[in-house]
Amino acid sequence: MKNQTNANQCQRKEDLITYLYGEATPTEEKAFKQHLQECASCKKEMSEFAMVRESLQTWQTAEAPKIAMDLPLERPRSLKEILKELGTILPAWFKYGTGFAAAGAFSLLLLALFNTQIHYDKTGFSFQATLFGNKQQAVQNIKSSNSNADELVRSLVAKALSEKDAQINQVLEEKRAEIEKELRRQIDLLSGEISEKSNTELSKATLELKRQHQAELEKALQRIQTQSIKPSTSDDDDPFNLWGGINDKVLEKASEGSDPTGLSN
Amino acid sequence: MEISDNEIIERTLNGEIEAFNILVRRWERQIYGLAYRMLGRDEEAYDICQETFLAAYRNLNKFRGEAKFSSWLYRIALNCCHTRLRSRANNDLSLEQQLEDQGFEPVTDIEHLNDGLHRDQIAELVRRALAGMPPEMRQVIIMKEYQGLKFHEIAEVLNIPISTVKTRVYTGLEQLKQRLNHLKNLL
Repeated sequence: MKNQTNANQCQRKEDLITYLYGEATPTEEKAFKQHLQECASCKKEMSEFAMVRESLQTWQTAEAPKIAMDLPLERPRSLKEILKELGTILPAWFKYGTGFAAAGAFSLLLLALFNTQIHYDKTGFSFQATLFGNKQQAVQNIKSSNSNADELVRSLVAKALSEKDAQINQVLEEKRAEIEKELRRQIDLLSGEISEKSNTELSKATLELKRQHQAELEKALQRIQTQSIKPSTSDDDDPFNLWGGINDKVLEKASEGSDPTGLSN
Repeated sequence: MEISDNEIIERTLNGEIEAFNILVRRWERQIYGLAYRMLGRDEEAYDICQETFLAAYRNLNKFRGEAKFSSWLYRIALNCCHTRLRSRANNDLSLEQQLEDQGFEPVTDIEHLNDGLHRDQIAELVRRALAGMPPEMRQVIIMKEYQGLKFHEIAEVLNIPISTVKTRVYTGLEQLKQRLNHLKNLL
């Protein structure tokens, strides 16, 4: 160990004290002796402590006086002895009273153990006690009460749900009617626009057709007028002599004896 | 062969009351010495002795025999001493004793502490130096130096670790070294 000039900084204080009072084991003693050779502060402290111890031994007490004890009045007793003595000291009423109280307490304990049930209603008192199967009964009672509670909870939940459903349905219905009304309005608007547009186009087309027919008619009249001035060589060449041309052809076929209806055979 | 403390206790508990007086005679000197050095007054030391043995007798059925009877007895005695010390008022101490409680200058010449002093004078210095120490420190020094208890026995009495006992003894000796030198300078 590193030599120290101040014993307070050496970390072997406990070893020093153990060695000082001769309580070190042979191994510890040998090791600390070696340490003292190397640590001047511990060596110095050992010397100083030895002086202090020497001084302490100068203070000796005089012969101790004999202690006078009055023991018989204070003899220690066991719990059994105390209870026995208590039994002889206590008055009879206290002992009997204590006995009754203990019996009452015991009875209550038994009633509790036997699952005793006491009811009071309009019909009067009813008393029930079971030794065996009381647990099952209790469990059944608990189950029964639990099922009643479950039913009550279910009905309340169902009622609340139905009320909520009705509210939702009402809101939905109102929304649906509103949307339907809006749709109808939109459709009416669209159909109005469409009919107006189609009428306009129709009248335009009619006018156009009339105009075209008028033009055709005028052209046809001009041709007719032109042909009436210049006589035709054949009826077949006249595209406007529709009635005369057909009559001639039908009469021609009828003269050849053919049945145009095909029923004569 | 000497009858053991535990056998005497058993006999006492079995109704042989006078057997307890054997224990009183056996331990009264040590208990008196402990109380005297803790309190510094022989009348109080005697009272503490009586209180200690009476308390031990009354509670003898609570003694389990796990510790030595002497350790149990020392513990009772120290408890009685501490109660007595607490009841003392601070003004009970002299001005000089109060100054002693406030600390001292570092020691320079402990090697020559006892030079030129009569043995009774040194004993008086020791008494005063011990009286100025804290009771927790003083009791450890007394049990070690005057009662001759081993470190593990002191640890058993005080119910503290052995290392703590050694530390307290070391610190106690350091304080005594300083106090004794200081008192010597006052002479």
